Amino acid sequence: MTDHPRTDQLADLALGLLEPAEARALEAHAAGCAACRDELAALRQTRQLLAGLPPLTAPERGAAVVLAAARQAAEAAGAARRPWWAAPRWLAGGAVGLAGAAALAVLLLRVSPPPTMFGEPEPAPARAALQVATPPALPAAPVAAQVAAQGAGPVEAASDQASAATAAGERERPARRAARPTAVAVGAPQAVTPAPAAESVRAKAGPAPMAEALAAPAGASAPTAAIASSAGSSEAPGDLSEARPLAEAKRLGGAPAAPRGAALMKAEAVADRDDGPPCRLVLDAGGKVIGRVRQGRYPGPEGEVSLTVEERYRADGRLSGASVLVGDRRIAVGEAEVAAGRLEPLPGVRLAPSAAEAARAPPRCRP
Amino acid sequence: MDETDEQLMRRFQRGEARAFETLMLRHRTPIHAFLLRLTGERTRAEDLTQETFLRLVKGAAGWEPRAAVRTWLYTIARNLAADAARRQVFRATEWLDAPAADGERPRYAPAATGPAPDQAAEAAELRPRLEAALAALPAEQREVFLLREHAGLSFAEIAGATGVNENTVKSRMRYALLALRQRLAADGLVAAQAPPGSPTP
Repeated sequence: MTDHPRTDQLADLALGLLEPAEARALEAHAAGCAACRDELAALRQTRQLLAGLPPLTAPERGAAVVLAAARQAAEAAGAARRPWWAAPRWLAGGAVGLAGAAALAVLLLRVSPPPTMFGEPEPAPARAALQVATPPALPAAPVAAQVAAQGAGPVEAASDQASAATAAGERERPARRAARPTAVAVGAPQAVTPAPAAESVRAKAGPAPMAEALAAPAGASAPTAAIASSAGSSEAPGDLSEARPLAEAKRLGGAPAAPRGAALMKAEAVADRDDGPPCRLVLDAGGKVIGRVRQGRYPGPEGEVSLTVEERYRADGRLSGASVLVGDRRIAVGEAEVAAGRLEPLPGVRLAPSAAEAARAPPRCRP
Repeated sequence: MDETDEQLMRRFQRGEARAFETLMLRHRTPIHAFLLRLTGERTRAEDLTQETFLRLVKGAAGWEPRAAVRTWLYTIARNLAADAARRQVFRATEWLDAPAADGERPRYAPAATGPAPDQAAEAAELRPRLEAALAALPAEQREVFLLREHAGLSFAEIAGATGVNENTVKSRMRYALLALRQRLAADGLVAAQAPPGSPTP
């Protein structure tokens, strides 16, 4: 070969795209040609360097929801002796009669801090958990996580909390749905064997949400049970007496038995406006809206649920009015309830960012 | 002895949730890495990662053992990312570009975090430059490059996932490598290309 091969031929060689005969010929040329040899080496080195990039660790957020969906699907397969893919109503996109607030609570929970791939000194999950658990101002600690930590009775207590929020939100509606806890997204400490990957995290302070979800026995965990129980009760007349005042829920949440290791770092509200693109608000554990307005409904195990922010924010940054959409049913959330603090979308989260914060970066869902 | 993806998938089809958990644990990080590097936007990559696995749950019943689960996963992820990119054209983009209120970097801005201690110094300098080189590729080249070099899909599988023929895939791969090589040379990470027509020694 007297002529130099083209660079793209060398690239093909470096990528292993050439037929063996052609590859041998090029290699032979490169062996005697410094320019081509160097070029081939540079191409191979480029490939090698980029192949060495590490995977970027996935955040925990969302993992529990997926796993709950998988459990539900698997459970349906085992229980009903029918093709499981035909089974769960939520998979078919139908409305599941979950109380909105309960479902919303799941969506609002962000159980892990953002991933640490961007060079920001973001705390590790375990540390984050401690930080969040520490502030005394947290109005209602992550109850679901807390009660799950107590082991036996997570369902009832979480139900109370959810009921309270729901009752407030449904004041205008005669129809009453039973509020059920769906502590799907909560990295609830359970007496289970930690997944190996999360062992170090657990050892430090608390659960890694995904590891918890993974470690939870399929079909036997609280989340699954909650979902299963809610499925049949959607139309059952709710017991309003279950709905305790939120104050009591707060008391429950703020009980001395602090949610050790419960990682409630951020929360999210999915907003789906009628007059604009859907968006998502990210709240911190103090209820401040700290960011991202993003599109998308949230397909969870309860069906597609979204929080409709109808008036977005007033000047002081409060959420002024919202409704919760569960399937095709909308549960109104009055401005008064929000403003008066009678309604909280999530244990531990107030929709009341400071005026200064709101003024500096007013969160908006723009069409 | 690890089960194959396909064995796990069959168990999940039979109703074993644990099998899916294993499957997800195995693929979640690489899928997320793929989506993050493909979309260049962290929050979107998180959403798409979750959505990818939800689709896997929903589609599991229709899965047939001859289809590789991994290829399927990347196909889902890739299609979701492509859809999202298309939708973005029609949306106001201000929230994508505006800095988030909490100071979180809104755009993909790779930085070195958590390298292995023994190579920390070198990796800390190297990695963001490599990520930047990848991010600078045209999307269709980046997609192919990631699917091939990181996900390990065959060219035929990539062709199936991206909906173009295999020759196009190979062509994109070639141009991706050449572009990366130029970029890294400009960054001083690999030798610069000899001028064309330089004499053969």
